[in-house]
Amino acid sequence: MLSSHLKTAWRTIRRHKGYAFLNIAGLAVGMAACLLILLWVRDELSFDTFHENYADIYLTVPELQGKKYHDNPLALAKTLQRQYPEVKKATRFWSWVIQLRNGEKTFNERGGLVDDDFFAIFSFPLAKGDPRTVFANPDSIVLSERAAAKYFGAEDPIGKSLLRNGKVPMTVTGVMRNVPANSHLQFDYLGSTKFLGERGETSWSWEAWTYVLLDPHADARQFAKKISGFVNEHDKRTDQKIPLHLQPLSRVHLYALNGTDPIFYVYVFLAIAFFILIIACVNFINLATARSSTRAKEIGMRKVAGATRADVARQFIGEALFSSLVAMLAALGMIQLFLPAFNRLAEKQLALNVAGDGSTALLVAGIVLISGLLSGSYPALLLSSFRPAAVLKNGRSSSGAGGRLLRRILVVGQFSAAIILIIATLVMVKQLDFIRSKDTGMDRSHVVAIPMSREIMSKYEPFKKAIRQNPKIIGVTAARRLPLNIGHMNPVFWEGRGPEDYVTMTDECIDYNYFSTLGMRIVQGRSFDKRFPADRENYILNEEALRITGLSAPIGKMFSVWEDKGRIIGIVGNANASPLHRPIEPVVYTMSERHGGLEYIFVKIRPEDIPGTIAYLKRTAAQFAPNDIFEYSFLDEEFNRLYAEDRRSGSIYRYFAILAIFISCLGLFGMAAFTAEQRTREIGIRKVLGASISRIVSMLSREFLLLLIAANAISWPVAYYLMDRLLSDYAYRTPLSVWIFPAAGVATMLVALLTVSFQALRAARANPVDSLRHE
Amino acid sequence: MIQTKNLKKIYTTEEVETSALNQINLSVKESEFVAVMGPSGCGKSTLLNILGLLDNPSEGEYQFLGHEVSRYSERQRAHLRKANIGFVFQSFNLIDELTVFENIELPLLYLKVGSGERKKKVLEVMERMQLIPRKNHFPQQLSGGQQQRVAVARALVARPKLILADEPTGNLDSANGDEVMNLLSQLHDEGTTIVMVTHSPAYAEYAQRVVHLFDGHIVTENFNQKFHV
Repeated sequence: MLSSHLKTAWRTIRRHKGYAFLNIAGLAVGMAACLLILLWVRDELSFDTFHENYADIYLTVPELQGKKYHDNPLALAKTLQRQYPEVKKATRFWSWVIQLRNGEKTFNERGGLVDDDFFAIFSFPLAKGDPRTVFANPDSIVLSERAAAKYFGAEDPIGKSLLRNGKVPMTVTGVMRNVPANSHLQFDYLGSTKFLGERGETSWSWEAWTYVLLDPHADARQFAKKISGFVNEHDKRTDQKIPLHLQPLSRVHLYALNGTDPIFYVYVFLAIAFFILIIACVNFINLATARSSTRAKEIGMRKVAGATRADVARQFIGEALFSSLVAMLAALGMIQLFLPAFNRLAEKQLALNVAGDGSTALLVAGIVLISGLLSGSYPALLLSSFRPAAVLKNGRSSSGAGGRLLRRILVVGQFSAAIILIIATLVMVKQLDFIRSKDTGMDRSHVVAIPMSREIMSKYEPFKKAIRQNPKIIGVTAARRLPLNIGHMNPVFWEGRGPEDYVTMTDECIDYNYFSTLGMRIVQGRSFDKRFPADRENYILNEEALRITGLSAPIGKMFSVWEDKGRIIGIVGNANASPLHRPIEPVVYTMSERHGGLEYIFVKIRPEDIPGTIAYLKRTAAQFAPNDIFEYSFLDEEFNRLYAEDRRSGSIYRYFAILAIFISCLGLFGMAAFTAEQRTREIGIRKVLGASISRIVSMLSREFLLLLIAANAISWPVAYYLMDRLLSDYAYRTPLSVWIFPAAGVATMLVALLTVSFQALRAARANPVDSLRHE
Repeated sequence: MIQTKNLKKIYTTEEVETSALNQINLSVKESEFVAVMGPSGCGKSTLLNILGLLDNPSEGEYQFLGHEVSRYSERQRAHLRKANIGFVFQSFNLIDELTVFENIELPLLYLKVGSGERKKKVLEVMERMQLIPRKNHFPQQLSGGQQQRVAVARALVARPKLILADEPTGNLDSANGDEVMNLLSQLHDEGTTIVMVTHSPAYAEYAQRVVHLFDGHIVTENFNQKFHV
C-alpha cells in the first residue's frame, strides 16, 4: 500500500512538474529559513549549559539605587564561602586585558584573575596541567590552546615564562581547551587572584564578577533571601541599602540585569521562523486544494475500489510528508550553501550536522513532520470527502470550489505576515538612521582613541607634546574611559543637599581640552584651565547632573564625590555616554587622579590623509614605548559598535522579510496559474466576444488585489502595535511615521500583482480557438 | 441478492429539490444479468450508484446480500463494497499515474491481500483479458478498447459477486463494444451477477431482463425471450 502511494506521489510530481516545483521550492526555502533560525535560537539557549554543574552555579548581583551590577566587592566570594555552608565553592573573575610577551612575540590577551576553585566550578577542560594546582602561585598563568600556540608554537609551554605587561614574569602552569563560543565568559588566559596580594582578600571595592557553586540540595531562593543584606553587614562605608541577588548561570546570556532582556530577540526570531514555515505550508495547502479537482477522478476510483475515507486521507497526508521530505533535502542543501553567510551576518559559528548530532536530526525530522502534517491535513480532509458517485460522473469534484474561502483567508494571512515583516524592517532601518544622525552632544568624527600602556602613561605629557607637533593633529586630550559606556557610580554631595538625597553619579577623570577635542559645549561657567591650579580639585557637571542637584546658580558651589571636596566651575551639555537605549546619565568631570587616572588618549585629526596620520602616531608611540603594541580605534566606530546587535537584527529582519515575500509570491504564482488554467474556457469565450487583453488581465488580477487590500488592513494595526513595543526599548526613538505603512503595502502589492499579471497575461494572450476546441 | 423497497433519491440544492428516483422496487437474483435502459437524466446512474453502495437513498429500504444497507455509514458501505462489488464505467476511470498492472491491483490492495497472492491474481486476470503485453503501460498509452478491458479486469480481480456496469460501451466503437459485451456475457455464464446501464437496445439483448426507467420510475420490465426457452 505504502509503495503504491509513494509511486502515485512520485508520478504526480513528475507529471505536474511546474506545480510540484512551486510547492517543493517554496517549502524548501521556508524550511531552510526556519531551520537556520532554529539553529541560531538553539545556540542562544545553549549558552553556559555545557558546564556539568551549570544548574547550581549562580552569580551574585548587588543592587544600587534600583540598578543591578555584575561587578561585586572583591572580598565577597571568600567571605560568603566561609560564612555559609550552602556555598560549596566560589570564584571571582576579574576581567583584564593584558599584554603578554615571549621574546619577540607580543600580543594583547583578554582574560582575567580567578580563584583556585575556578576549574572545579566550571567545566573548562585542561589539555595540560592539574586543575587543582594550576593557580598555586601568584605568578601562575593558564593559557588557551589558541594562545599557547601563538607564543610557543609546537613546544610544550608548561613551566615556560611569559612577561606580563612588559614587566612581571609569569609561569605557564596549564593549557586549557579553547573556550566554546556559547560561553558568556570568553578568555585566552587566566591568572590567579593571589596576584592581587592582600588587597584581593580585604577590599570591598566593586571590581570582579563573583560565581558561587551552591550545594545541589540548597534552595537557591531561600539562600538568596539569607544573603540579601550581606554587603551592608560587611561594608560599612555607606548607609545606602545594597541588596544582594543571585542570578542563575544559564540566565546571564539572555537576561539583562537592567532593561530589556535579550531573550526578547529570541522570541521575535522564533516567531519569524514559525511565520515563514507557516507561509510555506500555506502555499502547499492552497495549491493542493485548488488543484484538488485534478485528483478527483483518482480519489473516486480509489473509493470505488474499496478505499475508505481514512485510506484516502492517509494517502494525501503521506504525499504531503513525502513532499516535505523532498523539500527538506533541498533545504539542507541550501543551508550548506548559505550557512557561512548567515554565520557572518549573525556573528555565530553555527554548524549543521544532521547525521552526527541527534538533536539536529530531531529538529530536522520535527520540521518535516510538522510541515507535512500542517500542509497535508487540510487537503487530506477535503479530498477524502469527495463522493465517488459525484466525481466519477463528470470527472470533477462536486465541490470544485473546495475550500475557496479558506484559501482566500490563508492568502490574506500569508501576506499580512509578510507585510508586518517589511514594516518591521523599515522601522528598524529608520531607527538606526535616527540614532546615527541624532545630535549626541559630542562630535566623534575623526577622533582616534589610543589605550595607554603603563609605559606611555608614565610619559604622557612629553608624548602629548610630541604628537601635537604634527599639523594634521587638531587636538589631544585624555580620559579614564571611552566616552561611550561610562558606568561607575559614586555618591556625591553638594551645598544645600539634604541628608535624605542619597545620589550617585558617574565620575570621569579627564585631561585639559577634553570638551573642545570631543566637540562638547560648555553651557555655563568654563572648562578646566591650566591657569587655575585649583581646577585639579574642581568639578564640571553635565546638564543632567545639574538637573538632579536642582542648583539654580551652580557655579562656585561646593561639590564632592565621596570626601573629595571642590567647587563647580562649569556645566557642559549632555552627551550620550551610553547606548541610546538608555537615557542620559548624570556625569561629573574631574581632573583629580583620585578618580582613576588617565587611560585613553583622544586625538582629533584632520580628515585628509588619515593613514599617514595614524602611521605618524604609531611611529611616535614606538619612540616612547618601543615594546608596546600600538592599538587604536576611531571613536565613531566604537560608538557604532554599541548598535551592532540592533544592526544585526535589522539585517536579519530584512533578509527574512524578503524571503517571506518571495515564498508568498511563489504561492500566488501557482494560484494565479491555476485560476487562469481553470478559467481558460471562460477566457476563450470572452475573447471571442471581443474582450481585450487588458480587460482579461484586470479581471484575473482583481480577486488577488482584493485579498492584498484585506492583508494590508489586517497587518497595519498589528504592525503598529508590535513596532510601538519594539521602539519603546529605546530612550530616543524615531516617530512611527505614517508613510511606512502604505510604503510596505504598496511594495508588497506591486510585487504580488506583477506575479499574478504574468500568469494572467499568458492566459489572456492564448488563442481562444485552442482553448475552446478541447471542450 | 438485491431487494429494494420504495427507494427514493432526492437531490437538494439551494433553490430546487429534484427527485431522481421514486418508489423503486427492484429485485435482482444471484447470477442474474439485468440491463437498465432509459433516456438521459431518468435516474439510471443514480440507481446504479445506490445499488453499488456509492450513495445512500433518501428514503426506502435496500437489502444487499441480506443486509439492510440503506442507512449504512460511508465506512460500512466501503467495507461491504470492496469485498463484493466491481464497477465498470463509461469513461473507464483508470488512474493515470498507475500502470495497467497497478490499476488492476488496486482493489486487492484495499482488501489487504498479500503481495504474492496479489501478483498471482492480477496476472491471472490479465492473462484472461490478454493484457499481459501491456502490463507496464500507462492508461494514456492504450486505445479505448484496451482501457475498458483494463477497467473490466480491475472490476473482476477481487472476484466480486456483483458487477455494476455504467454504459460500459458508451465510449467505444462497435468492435470494441462487442468485445466488452462478450466478456460480460462470459462472466454471467460463469455465475456473476451483473447490472448494466445502457442506451443500446442491441447490447440490452445480452441481459436476461431489461428494466426501463423514466423520470425516476420503473415503467416496464421485459424478460428476454432467448433465456426463457
